[in-house]
Amino acid sequence: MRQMTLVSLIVLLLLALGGSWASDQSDYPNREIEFIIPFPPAGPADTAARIIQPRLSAILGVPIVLINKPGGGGALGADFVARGKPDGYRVFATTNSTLTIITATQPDLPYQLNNFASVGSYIVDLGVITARPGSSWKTLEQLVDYAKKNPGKLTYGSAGQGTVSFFTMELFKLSYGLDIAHVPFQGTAPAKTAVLGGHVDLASSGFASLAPSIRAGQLIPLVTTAPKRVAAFPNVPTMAEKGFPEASVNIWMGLFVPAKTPNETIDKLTKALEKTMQDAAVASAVEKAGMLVDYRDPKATRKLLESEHEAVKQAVKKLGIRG
Amino acid sequence: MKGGDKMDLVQSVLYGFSVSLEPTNLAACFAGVLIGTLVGVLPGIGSVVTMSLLFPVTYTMSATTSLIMLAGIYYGAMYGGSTTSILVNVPGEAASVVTCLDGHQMARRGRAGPALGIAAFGSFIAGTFGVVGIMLLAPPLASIALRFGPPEIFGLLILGFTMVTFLARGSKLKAAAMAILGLFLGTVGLDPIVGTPRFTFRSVTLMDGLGLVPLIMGLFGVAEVLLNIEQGLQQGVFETRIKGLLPTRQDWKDSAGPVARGSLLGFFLGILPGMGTIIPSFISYGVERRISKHPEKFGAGAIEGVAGPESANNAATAGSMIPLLTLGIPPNVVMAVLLGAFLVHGVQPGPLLMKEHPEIFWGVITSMYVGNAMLLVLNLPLIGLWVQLLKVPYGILFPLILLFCVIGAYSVSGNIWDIITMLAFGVVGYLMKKFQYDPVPLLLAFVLGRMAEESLRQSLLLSRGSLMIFLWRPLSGAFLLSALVLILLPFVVPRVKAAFRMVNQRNQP
Amino acid sequence: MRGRGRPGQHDRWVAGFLLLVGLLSAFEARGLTVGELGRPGPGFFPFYLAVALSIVSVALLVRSFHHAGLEGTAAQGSGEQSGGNKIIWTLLALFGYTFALDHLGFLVATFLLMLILFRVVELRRWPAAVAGSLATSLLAYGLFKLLQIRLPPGIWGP
Repeated sequence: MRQMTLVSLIVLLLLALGGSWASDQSDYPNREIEFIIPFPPAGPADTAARIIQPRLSAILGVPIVLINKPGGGGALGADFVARGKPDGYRVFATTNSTLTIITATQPDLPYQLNNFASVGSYIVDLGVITARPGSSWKTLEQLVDYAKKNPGKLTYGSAGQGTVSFFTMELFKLSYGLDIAHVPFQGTAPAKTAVLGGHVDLASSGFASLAPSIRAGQLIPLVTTAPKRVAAFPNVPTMAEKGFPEASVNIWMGLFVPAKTPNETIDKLTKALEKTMQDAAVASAVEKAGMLVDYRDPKATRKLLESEHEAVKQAVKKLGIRG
Repeated sequence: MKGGDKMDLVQSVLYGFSVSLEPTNLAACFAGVLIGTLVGVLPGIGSVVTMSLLFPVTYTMSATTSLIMLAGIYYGAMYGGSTTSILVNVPGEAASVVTCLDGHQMARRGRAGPALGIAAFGSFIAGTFGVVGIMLLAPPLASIALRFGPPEIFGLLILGFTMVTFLARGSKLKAAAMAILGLFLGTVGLDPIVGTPRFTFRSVTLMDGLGLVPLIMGLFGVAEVLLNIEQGLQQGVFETRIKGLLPTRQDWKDSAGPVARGSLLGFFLGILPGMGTIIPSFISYGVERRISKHPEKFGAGAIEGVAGPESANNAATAGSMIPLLTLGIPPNVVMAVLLGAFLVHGVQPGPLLMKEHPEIFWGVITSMYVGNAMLLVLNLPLIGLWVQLLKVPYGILFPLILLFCVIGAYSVSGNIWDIITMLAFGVVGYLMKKFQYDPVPLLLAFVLGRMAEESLRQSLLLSRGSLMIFLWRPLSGAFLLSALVLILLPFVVPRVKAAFRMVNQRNQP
Repeated sequence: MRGRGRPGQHDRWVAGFLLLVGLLSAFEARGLTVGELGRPGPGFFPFYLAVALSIVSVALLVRSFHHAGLEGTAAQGSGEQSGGNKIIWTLLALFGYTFALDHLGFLVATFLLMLILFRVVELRRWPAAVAGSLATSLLAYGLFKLLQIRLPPGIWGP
């Protein structure tokens, strides 16, 4: 056993030596970068990140690993990044909702908007409210009529508490004064499954996720939250033209890192993102997925975040929306 | 089906083979299954991580080629995972944890060869079955999957749960306690619906919840090594004589039923959202033990306990392709990586995929058949080699096992606290074995916990607080009823038998 | 590992421990929102689980007094002294390795771990153990690199 003691002493010594080692950021990135997606596969955040992953990874010269961490309407993934080392190796690939909406609707979140620094925003996914065909309504008016006559009978599925799909539906309910029960799912894909299977009556998300089912006739689009009618679906009315412009929230995707990340690290990521979004192949993949390229630098992203967060807070206060 | 459709099907399949047998695709398929097997053999290192790391490599390939390779890694890992389970009682893949129970016992009795053989053959048969299943039934099955809403999922989970708990070895009460504890451990972390921290004691690591890989590697890997070390190596060593490398005729007879049932079960469960591959293999094990004429042999090296679950997890990989290919909904994370491969090539999987991109749809499906055949050819000669591994003294083997467990736990998220969690559960697992608590119900409950809670809460929101929703809906009602029957059976059957005996005795003069 | 005692005694301790866990968790879950059937909160599921766990552990506790000795012939071959020591050494080495990984990097830390583990069980001669450790850590490194598996960086490179 004496030799064992010797070995463990050596280990301790080496440990002490190792403690003096400090990280160096000048050669960033020199290993794989994790992208934390706060929703399960196939939602807008996931789709967008998967589209840019290969190009972005080629530009940065290191692999990018996509990790889905769903839960708590995206809070779980957000918190995971907020708590991470600010070294640029853990990036939050999210929709706007985890930073602007849920932070206003959930009082006891473990993180705040200020825990994050922006790398940039890059894709927009326009929102749509859909229903399953075969129901007794085919248009927005018929749905509103039915819901008014049968309060509390309808249900809607959202991508989670505090997500854009939740907020869109709550604003929709308030606009028309309807009573529709909310069933939160962990992301767009499960919510879409639930409406396709008839477990809930309505679901809202971005066009990207729902368009294939709309085209195949499995879902009917009732109304969109886009600022103007969407070219691919010209027959779908907008909330704004129905007289509710304030009920138009859309999904946009951005990359964020923990707040204390060094500026030069963020800079490298931002430049790579900008270059990725200029790539023609990426742009065409975005378009084919049913979304729009919309790149904003960190400053513009920050501004958008703050103004949207403020607007959501006002709406929540005025309308009494809560999770 | 009309005659014309049948013709179309044959043509489509032939067309698919013409795509998957192109040299590039054939090479991609081989590379995929080879990497998959390797990843599967290494404990803790999962196919998801590997697939996402290799994903950028496939970017330059065509959509079909990259999908063929990525899918190959996935089902290849299922073949490899069983090897580690059987040889050293450490699950190579999460889904192979069930294979440890009987596979390793077989190895200890000198029957590692037949165990590995039946795992490979069972996987091949199940994989083939799955591929044929996708070809014939993909669209109708997708609509069945859609009928599983929150109440149905909850009912199914409760049934699966009851099956495994009540079939656990030893005391039912202890099994129930472990099952509840497992569900409970699953609630650690942020609430799945509203994001409130639960039982985290302000620890940042716990916020994230306990990881599945550290938990499995701890309870089954580390605990096993600790027990072996303690018991002295003489006991840890195997019977030296190795009896045969391939399954005997009797083995085949015993395994035929389990392979067939495992394939069916795995395939159908695989289609359902969130099921993955681990739950089907557990349920298959439960079913085999339930219907076996000699359930006491389970846990002591019954070949049925290897054949069933191994078939089930392979069939489940095929089944899980269906929602992705026909609805555009990936039912698990692995399918999400495949979805990514579709998206970067500008292809939207969904109801229109078969029409718009037949070369992808049929090419990938037929490649799975080709890949399964390759895996069989690859794995059978390896059996001899693997069995030789058992001759390595445990004193040399166990440090390696521990090393792979540690790196496996670390590789999932690069957090050293995952290693600590694994070691802690290693100690817990060791103590559980000492006090005769079965870790299986705990693990299964942990796997099901989040889904069970979510579906329960969603169902209650759907019904606005009425528990009757579980009985009204025919599917969930049927599941819950079956669970109830399972619970009551052990109490009722002996009494009925006793009553019969009494009557018989009275009738006899 | 603790004494051999009467078999029922182990069960009693474990059941008592589980009961404690159940009660404490029930208390903790009350602090979260339990909610009601129509609006279940974050505490809903854990609370009822904790209650169930407490009930089952009480049953286990009661049974351990009644059935003492009937079930659970304690653990098989309660390890001799050296077995226990080996376990403790192995665990210490693993915990040490975990923390060393982040500082020393994979190669150095793994070499040391292998060296300790090889010598814990089979007291092999030093040269053999050193050679074996060197070989395994290099081979493992090559394998993990090949599969692009993430390894922690340390002072001396990988």
